[in-house]
Amino acid sequence: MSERKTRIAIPKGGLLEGSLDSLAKLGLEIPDLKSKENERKLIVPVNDEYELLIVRGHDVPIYVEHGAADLGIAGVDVILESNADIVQLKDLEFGACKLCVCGKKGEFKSISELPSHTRVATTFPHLSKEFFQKHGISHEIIHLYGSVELGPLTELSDVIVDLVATGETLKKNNLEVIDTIMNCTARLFANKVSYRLRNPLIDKLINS
Amino acid sequence: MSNAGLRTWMPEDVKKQKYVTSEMLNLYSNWGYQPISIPTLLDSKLFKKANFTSKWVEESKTFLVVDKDGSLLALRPDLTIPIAQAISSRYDKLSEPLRLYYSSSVFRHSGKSTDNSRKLLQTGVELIGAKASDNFSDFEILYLFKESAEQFKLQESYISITDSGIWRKAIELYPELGQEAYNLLAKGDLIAFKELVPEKHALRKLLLRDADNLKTLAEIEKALKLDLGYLKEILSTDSLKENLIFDPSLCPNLDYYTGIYFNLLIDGIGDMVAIGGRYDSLYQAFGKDFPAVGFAYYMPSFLKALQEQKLLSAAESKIGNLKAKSNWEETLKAAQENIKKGKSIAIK
Repeated sequence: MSERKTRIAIPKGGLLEGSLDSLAKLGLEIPDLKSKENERKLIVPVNDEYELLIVRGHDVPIYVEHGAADLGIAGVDVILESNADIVQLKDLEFGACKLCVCGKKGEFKSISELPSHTRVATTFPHLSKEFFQKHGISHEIIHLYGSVELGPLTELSDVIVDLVATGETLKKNNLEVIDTIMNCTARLFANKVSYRLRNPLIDKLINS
Repeated sequence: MSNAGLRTWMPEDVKKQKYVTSEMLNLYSNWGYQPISIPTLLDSKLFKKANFTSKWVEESKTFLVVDKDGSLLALRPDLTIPIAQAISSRYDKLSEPLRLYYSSSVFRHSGKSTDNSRKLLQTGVELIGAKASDNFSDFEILYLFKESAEQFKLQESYISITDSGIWRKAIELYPELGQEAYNLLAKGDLIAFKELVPEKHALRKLLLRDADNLKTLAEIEKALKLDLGYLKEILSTDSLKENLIFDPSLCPNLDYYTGIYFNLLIDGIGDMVAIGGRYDSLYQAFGKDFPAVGFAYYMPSFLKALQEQKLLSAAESKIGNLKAKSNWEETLKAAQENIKKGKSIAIK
């Protein structure tokens, strides 16, 4: 195997702290990302064997699938939404939340009450489409890049599909969960070639 | 303007591609392989007939074109299947094995979730009419597979290899669990696989990763009550064993592969660069009982690897400037003198 460092892509934002904690629990000495030396760096060296790549959450599976990173951490929702051809290695058991269909409070008790052609606003178009197709509900996906809660409030959509952790944001916006699509946690995953060629390192990491 | 996934290759890239392809085809030619060329447009029903369910050849990934009479034609999404059809319709029996090579593009709607490549140059070989045990046919194919890359002094390249009989036996021994375990590993879900298969179950051995290939092989043979003698021979043969990784967790398409299955992995290149194996039942779809084995190199990934390792300097040719003379005849004479000396020139 080459002397190139094993590159781990981790997500900016909500899952960053948990990702760093998980890697520390797996035995990596994680550098301080807020230090003067590392601040704003997108590639952060860890030691002689590893380096971190700090990227947007939805981009982690893309970096890993293409081999630009050997390993990655992202929510299972993001991994499945990307449909990336990767190897899921370990459930890191943090960042627990649910991917849910949500609507205005009191408007729909279950998905069987949804309109005959349901408009769905979401940042998860593929998983949403799969869910509505599975349940035989005629639908139209409106792909947004954030603040999907505004969908039903502005009549842009009938419902939204979004991640729900505490439910606080829904409550504040007078929305509620109609159905749960899947439970989500963060996962460690690998590029298919790296999984096979960097196995001593990867095995050390996932078995520690 | 360029459409997504339909790349224009500029002169420098084409020269490199031609150099690499020609070295590979020379190798195959030296080993008795002959060229075959397949039409770009094919009857779309051909792929249904082969009952071949590889994700690459699913109809949804194939470009379809409507013929004048309303029937559907496919832009060839694969080469092995149309070659099988062509050979089956031409030969009733093969008195001796056929050795064929090709270098042609296939066309597919994006195969990868995050990639747009729609045209993919493949270079490869087919050895038709020889069983695994006939005259070392699997050894020959594997040697050519390896040599195709090694002749360029490629570093950090490895061949992961398995036998599709391993999964077949696993599913025969544990029909439901085996099939589900296969489906999970084929889609790369190691987490669900470990949840499904108890830690001490024989199927867990499929995750074995040991630097000693023969040790892994012995464990698999014991766990699944299998005799993998010829794979053992391959893994112990001096001319083949270097950089071979026996990997029983590989999931060959069981509708297609019947024996050995292998692919080329290069550290730093995220995709599989080349793939091959034995598909003895493919020709039965066309009414013939011809065993077959072969491989294909995906040239864009292979070229990328060679380029990254700076192994393509031989493809760089210099073009000298030739100042135009006062008349064409003199200019031509000067040009021909240079060309005779092996120099390329451009008149300025």
